[in-house]
Amino acid sequence: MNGRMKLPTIGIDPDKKITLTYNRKRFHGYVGDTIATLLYAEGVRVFGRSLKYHRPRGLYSLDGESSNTFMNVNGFPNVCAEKTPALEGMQIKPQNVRWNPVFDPLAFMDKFSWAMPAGFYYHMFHKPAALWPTALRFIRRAAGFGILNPETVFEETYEEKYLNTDLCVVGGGPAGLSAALTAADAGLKVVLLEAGPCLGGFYAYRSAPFSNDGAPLYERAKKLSRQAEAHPRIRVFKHAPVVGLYADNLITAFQVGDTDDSFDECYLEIRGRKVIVATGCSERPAMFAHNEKPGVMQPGCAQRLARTYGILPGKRAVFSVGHDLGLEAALDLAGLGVDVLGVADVRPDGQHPDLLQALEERGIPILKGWVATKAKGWQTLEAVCLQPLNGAHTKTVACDLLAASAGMTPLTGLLTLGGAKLAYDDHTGFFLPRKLPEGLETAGRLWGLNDPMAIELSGKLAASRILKDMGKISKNETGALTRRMSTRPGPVRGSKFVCAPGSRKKAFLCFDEDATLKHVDQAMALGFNVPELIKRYTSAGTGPGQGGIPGHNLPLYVAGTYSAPDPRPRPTTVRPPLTPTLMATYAGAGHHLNKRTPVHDLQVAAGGKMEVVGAWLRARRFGDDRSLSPEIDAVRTNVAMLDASTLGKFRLWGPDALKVLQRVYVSDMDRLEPGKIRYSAMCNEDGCVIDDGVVIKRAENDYYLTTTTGRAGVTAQWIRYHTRYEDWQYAIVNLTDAFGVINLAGPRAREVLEALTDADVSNDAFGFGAYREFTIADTFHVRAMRLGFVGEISYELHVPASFMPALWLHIEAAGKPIGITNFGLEAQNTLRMEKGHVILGSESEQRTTLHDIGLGFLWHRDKPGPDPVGGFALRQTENQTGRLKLVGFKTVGTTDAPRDGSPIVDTRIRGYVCTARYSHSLKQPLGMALVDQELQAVGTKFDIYQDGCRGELMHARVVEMPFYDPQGLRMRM
Amino acid sequence: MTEFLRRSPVSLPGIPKTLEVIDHWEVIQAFKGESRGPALIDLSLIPRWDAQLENVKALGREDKDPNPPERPGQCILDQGLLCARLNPWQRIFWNLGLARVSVPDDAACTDITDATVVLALLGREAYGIMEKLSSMDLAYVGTEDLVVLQGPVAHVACQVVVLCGGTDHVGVLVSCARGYGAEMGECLLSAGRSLGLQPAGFGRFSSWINNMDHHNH
Repeated sequence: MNGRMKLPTIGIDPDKKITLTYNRKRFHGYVGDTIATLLYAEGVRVFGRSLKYHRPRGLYSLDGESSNTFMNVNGFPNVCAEKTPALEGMQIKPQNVRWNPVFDPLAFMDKFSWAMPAGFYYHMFHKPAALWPTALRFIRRAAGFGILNPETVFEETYEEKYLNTDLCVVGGGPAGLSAALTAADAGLKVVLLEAGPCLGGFYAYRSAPFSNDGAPLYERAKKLSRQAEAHPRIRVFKHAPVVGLYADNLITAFQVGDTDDSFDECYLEIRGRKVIVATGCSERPAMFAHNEKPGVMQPGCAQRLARTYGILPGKRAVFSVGHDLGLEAALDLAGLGVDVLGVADVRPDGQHPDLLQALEERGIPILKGWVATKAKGWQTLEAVCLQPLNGAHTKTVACDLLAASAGMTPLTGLLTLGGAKLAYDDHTGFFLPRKLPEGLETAGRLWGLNDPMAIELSGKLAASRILKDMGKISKNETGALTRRMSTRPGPVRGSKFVCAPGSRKKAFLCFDEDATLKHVDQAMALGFNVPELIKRYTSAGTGPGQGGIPGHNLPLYVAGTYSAPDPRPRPTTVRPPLTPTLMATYAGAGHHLNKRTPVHDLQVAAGGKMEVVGAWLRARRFGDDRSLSPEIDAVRTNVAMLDASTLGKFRLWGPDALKVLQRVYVSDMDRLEPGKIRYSAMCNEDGCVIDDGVVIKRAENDYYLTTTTGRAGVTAQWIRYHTRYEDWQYAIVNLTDAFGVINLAGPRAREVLEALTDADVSNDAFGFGAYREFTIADTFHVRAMRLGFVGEISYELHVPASFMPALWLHIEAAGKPIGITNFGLEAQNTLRMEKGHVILGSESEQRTTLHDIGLGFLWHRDKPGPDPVGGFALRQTENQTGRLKLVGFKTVGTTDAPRDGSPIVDTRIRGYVCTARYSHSLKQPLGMALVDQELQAVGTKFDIYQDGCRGELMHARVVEMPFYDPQGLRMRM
Repeated sequence: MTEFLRRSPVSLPGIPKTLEVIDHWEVIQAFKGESRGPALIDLSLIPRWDAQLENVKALGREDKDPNPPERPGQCILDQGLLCARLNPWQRIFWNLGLARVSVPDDAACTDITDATVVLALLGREAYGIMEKLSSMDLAYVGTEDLVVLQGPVAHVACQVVVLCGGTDHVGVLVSCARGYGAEMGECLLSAGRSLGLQPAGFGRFSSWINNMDHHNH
């Protein structure tokens, strides 16, 4: 390994080299590196620039708690380089920089930070108003996280997985692993989520002994990991950060794909009967002047760089810490070759004596009660100032690494999302849950535990509590574990240190938003006294790091600085996503299935232009002729076929079937005779028309009915809902997909049908409004209806869907001698409009009653049996004034038809165009519109406004409907 | 005389090795190069019917009426005839064995063979494929003999039956509206590609369901 240390904890594969391009230069690393560790190993120290002040930013942690290492990777902006695995051939660019990260001309902004106080965007640039457009452009250019090129084509693969499990353990550290193993051994199915690429948590990179036998923690981590991964009842998801926790223990997460996976990212939705949160702790940032300068990083980050990636984080290091792990990291790095010049520990006492002795043996000076107060250097760290907490003395030490943290902070975001209320704990200095919601348990370091045995026992104890709840073990077994736990060291006393003495002008509370302690002071001076309000005013914690850096420090600082009646620190609210990811990940594999009719492929082959219409793919038109004249002419003068298979179709039968029909239809279905069709409509309780179709009586108490395409999916529920209080014996089956429908239309349609069947289909035997069942070619049993939606002789042939392609081809063959052709939805739309036939949804909206669109004749107000749904409202609205009514219109002075939906206006909106098309049959634009009462009389003129008309209104005049064949003779021929 | 064939909405990729016409359906009994791994099989041709109302009789074979499942969700598989209760008043029947049982001539029964498609996923990997497409807990099925689950698969309303005759004898039957059949087939194949899912002919299912019946008996 070139320049990397060979250690047993290493997480990279030294045999697999990779090369990537960063800022137009090639860099080399190994499989297992993140982008940031690869670049760090290659000497890159400045990774980007800050949002407002364009200050240089470097590697601070390895957990994505800030946007310091956000980069553009293969066209994706805002990729967190410290968490993203480095892959061969990656193209990486720094973001939020002008020239390059080291030399950024906008760095002068840092000198003008005085001009950008807290909330400056709320109260600056407002006056003079003329300045605002210029300021806006400048601010937009200067600010923002990354740029997404809309032309970029992303070729990543996304998947989704829905998991159901007895127990979901969040956190693959020692507590989580112990909990998972205990639960799985007892027979539970367990899903284990670990945000990082490997299990073991903070054991994985530590060489401290696990127990008295001297075995190091990293060996213990490997052992637990092997056990968990080999356990048949544990499913381990590594590199799977959790996004949220919702009601009934629904956990959302995402997994970053490994090279062997079939996805780049996979959205995970886990329903767990129980959840254990063992997310551990992160380090709480230390706040002092220039605390974000490249070269300053968390002790854990420095230690992991060495132990996991084999990289020495610096040559000459100073530590400023508030916990024993910091002392351990200093010793570890010193042992690996870093020249540790000194350790400032903010705690005046309480350090583990073994660690103090080891520091002394190594000759590393320790300054108790001291902290780092200033990081010095131009671009990167060159020296650090150390002071005691009273600021009485100053020591300046030249170094290239400052490992600094104020203490620990528990990762309790998931608990908050789960409904736990957090309160400040004086002993640990943590925000901890007072009571856990049902089904949720916690374990491990987030309670302040530091003793490895205690941490593992806490995991076992959490699992045993769950097992006891589920009746898998007895209370005694849980009690035994509790007793063992009580023999181990409990939570350690936490550091309360918040900020170092000295200037707060460049002591950064939030790296993402360049929010400093001075900004918080300014906000408090203006009267903001609650962390939630200060967060919003200063924008601290509102960046992509999701509050990872300032989340704990802000309430501590506010509580310690502001003299409020209640001085207890209050945490800010945590909201999902705890870890942000791509929208594409949430979309998953993008399964969006459309329905295809039985003759979908035949229509595509015939040149059908398929479009999504509701749930279906339908042929809008055939060929490229948008005038549609060939299709319309075929129906008006010859014969053509339409695929109408999407119509809703139902069988309704049973002793009380008629009562059901009387309830949901406005017409009297008692008058329906076998062999006849009854066209009718359904209304809702308000009398507004919601559906129309035909009903056929096939046998006694046995009906076949059709609905609109859009309502097919809800008709059965609608009928059952409106008969829910009745003790009626009936059944309904949705046959929408069971039957394909061919609409054979045109003056020569009968000619084609006669060629297909021996049945008598003459006008006398099978006239308009009739229903027949017959067989075609001794194979196709057809339910045939004589209808006239398009205004010509028209047969609706319902045939079992599996037979429809064969019948379609059979009809095509029979009609070929006379030139049969296809017609699509758009031609049908024009044809039916010429006849004044409505399509619900086009000629109606939520407020439109049966009478409003001229279908009042369907309503039999005195029909026997139950009153129909909406009957009462129909009586009330029948003669109501002021309603929008459907009228026909012709445009005046133009050959263009207005667009559907265009408003009809005078001094106000008086209605709107429902459907308007150029009529090939009548050689002029026609349309239907819902208009105010004053505009409903034939001959009334009105104006139509169209988007983009620049004030030039289209004129139209109300005319009688139907426009075409007013007597309806052609469809009755 | 021309025989008009019935067409399944599902078109699985592959070259047919054995074709057979059954009741106007052209059935691919086997594909060329068919593996023994996880398989997706089109069962569109199996007769299926819906039975409702309480006075339903003669719902299956004449000599033996299967004990009707009583609780919604409960299923019974008897000699290749699957009966599932969807709700208090509705049952569905799938003639998986293709024995000589067709849709009963009873007013209470409605032929729904063409209303839906049924696709079979065979192999232990079926669980892994389904979890990519559905939030339904198929493992819950292990607590019952046989159940029908009603819920979304790839956001489409489906009925799902898990047939499990041992650790390796796993089959998941997915039924959805016929219109979704073509894209559901593509979707299942796509979700199962990384797990080695490949199309297989009806013959594979026939022998599988026969073995299933042996397990049950």
